[in-house]
Amino acid sequence: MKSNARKFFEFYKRHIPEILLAVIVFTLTASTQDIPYLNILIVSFNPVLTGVIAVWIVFYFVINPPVKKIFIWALLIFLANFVFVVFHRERIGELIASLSYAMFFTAVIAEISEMKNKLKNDSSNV
Amino acid sequence: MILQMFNDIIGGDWPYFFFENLKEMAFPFLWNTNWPTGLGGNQIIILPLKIYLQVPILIFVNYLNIPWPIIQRIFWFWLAFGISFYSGYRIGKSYIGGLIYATNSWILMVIGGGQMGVALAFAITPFVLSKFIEFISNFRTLLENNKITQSLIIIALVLSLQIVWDFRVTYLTLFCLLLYFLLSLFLKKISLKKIIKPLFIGLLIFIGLNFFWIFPLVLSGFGNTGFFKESFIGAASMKFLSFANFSNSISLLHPNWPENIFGKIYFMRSQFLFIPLFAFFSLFFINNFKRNKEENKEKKMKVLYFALLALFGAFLAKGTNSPFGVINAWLFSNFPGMDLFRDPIKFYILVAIAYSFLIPYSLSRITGKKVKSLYKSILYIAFFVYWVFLTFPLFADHVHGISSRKNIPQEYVDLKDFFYERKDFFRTFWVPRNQRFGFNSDHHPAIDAGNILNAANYLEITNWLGKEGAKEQLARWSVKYIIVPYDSEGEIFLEDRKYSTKKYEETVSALNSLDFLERIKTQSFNKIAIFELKERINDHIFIENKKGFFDKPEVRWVSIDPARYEVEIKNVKEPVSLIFSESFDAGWVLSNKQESINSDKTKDGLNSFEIEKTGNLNYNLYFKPQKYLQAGVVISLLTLVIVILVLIKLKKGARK
Repeated sequence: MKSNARKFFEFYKRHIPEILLAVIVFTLTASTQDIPYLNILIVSFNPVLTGVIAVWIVFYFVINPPVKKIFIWALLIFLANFVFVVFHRERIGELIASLSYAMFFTAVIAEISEMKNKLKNDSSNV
Repeated sequence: MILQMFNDIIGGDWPYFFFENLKEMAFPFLWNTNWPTGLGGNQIIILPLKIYLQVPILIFVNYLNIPWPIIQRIFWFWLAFGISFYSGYRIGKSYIGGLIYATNSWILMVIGGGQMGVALAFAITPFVLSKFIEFISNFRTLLENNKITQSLIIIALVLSLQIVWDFRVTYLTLFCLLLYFLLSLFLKKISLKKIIKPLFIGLLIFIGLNFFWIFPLVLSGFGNTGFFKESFIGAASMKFLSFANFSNSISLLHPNWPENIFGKIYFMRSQFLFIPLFAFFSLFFINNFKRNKEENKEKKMKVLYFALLALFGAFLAKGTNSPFGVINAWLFSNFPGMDLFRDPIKFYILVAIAYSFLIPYSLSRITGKKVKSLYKSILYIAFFVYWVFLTFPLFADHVHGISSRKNIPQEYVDLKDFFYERKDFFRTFWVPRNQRFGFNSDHHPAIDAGNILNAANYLEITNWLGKEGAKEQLARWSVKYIIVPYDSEGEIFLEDRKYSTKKYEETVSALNSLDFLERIKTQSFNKIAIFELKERINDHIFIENKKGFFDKPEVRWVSIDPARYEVEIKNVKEPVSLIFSESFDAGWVLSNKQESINSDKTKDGLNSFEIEKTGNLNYNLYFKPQKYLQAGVVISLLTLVIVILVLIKLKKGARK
């Protein structure tokens, strides 16, 4: 039986490229607020939120996870929002809810595109 | 309970009418002497709703003598609830959908706030959408069975009714229809070539039915009321009115729930977060169909469409709040029609429609076909209990807003009698603003001081009254009485949202100190402080005495209706300016057989007519765009008759 610490370490080792990528994308996006001209866009947005959403978008395109998984994670993340709201941490809750919103949105768009492709294949088969 | 039926509904934006007001109601004119500030204006923007309000009063209250409290319930409150429940049911063919749509916190707050035009328009939105979805889904069948026209007529009729109630909600409905149309085009469910012609015919029917307001609007615009300039535009106002945060909007929780106090925002209620969880749970099932393939695609498309609609709605309803509020502000300033939504909370409609479909769908799919009906019932009952728990403040009487009441303060009844008996034209000037029971009529319009002076508080108004020229301006507005209302409802003199006696007393004492006013001391008015202007005021129509006449011409006038007057001027010895004491609008014309004089704007924004002729003169003073309204009404009625005849013919044809 592997210990939990060992399991976690293996999980960490397996996903080290994704974690590094997420950290880099987040840091880059959030820090653009200090870069002249580029910050015109980012200053208007919340940098932390923009960073989180940017990480999600890059993650989606690199990993391309199955839509069902996105739905599950989006729902779980939204449930986490519930916990933060219960403990009156609305600002963190808002951030988490926004991330889950971005995930739902991506998943719905991905499903629509997939549906279109399937319909295209169906008609070409006919 | 039955006796309650005869009580008036009072509160929020729902207007209160005295019996005398009801008696004088007629088919609305384009010019409203009382609107928007009490100095008159072109009411094209509210005309359709006024027609819906006044025509039933004319027929059922004035002719058939049915009490107004019953009519207001049937045509407004019960109708709004009934349609929204049926509409919500229809979108997903589920009573749970009806329940969600008719009793969510947003619509309860809207009805509680007495915004019944919005409530009715909201109620019918899913019905229009479901009809449109049927139209797109069954397009081929409808085309083969020659039922396209029938379908289009019904959609155009319902949309026309909705635009009468609230054009902003119709804009949102059109957004829903457009989104479904684009999705269908994208997924190649319909061919653009085939559908464009029927849609164009539908548009023509819609324009024909709405010609009564489109025609005067195109020819005379919004008039010079400054309605759009002042009230609707400005991203800053949107920022101020962005009360809902993202968690509120996605949870279909009105930010003012349950007290409905403007600007009072509550903490997020975690129990509401289960609503989006229930709704988006539906996305798990879209690939798990085992039945006929075409039906699966249809259902999958619907789930994706409603999920997209909910996501759009939640994003737009939070306004300029995080996340990415900048996008909303940009849309508000740049996207056509979005400037109608300075109060972004109306986008909750999209979320409500979407959840009325998605939640029942999730519930039906969780149980599935294999699950025993007992478990199914338990799940539905559990959801019902959960929903009752969410709407509990309603049953515990914690929801503030409209209420059913038998009596109104006697002071206001006496004030109404005092004014109603007077036959001379004059205006009343309410400081800081009119009270909900404050009487006004076409003969005695009420000016809201705060509104007309654009004053933020009572101090700015009393300061203005103390300035030089205020007395003369009031006389030119034909103001005879200045009134400080008795705030019986605790809505006017507020400090930290509570009634402040200090503010009321300060206002009265400021007016007491003005030497051109005399307080009328009658016991029956009690706390309503009424001041009369000591000097003679100008009439509704008068000759400007800028040249210092020794022998001022005499003016007599008769009001035929709010858009038409007969004017007689005697003893004119030199060119004069005739002032019509209503807000300037280029539509006002003074004419007789010899000449036609257009209105010029005076420095204080009234109508002025330069008369060059001398002697005894007779004129007609009329609001020209009224003719466009009359022509428009005829065309709309004709279209309605034709459309109904076509529908009857098509139905008969189908039976054969």
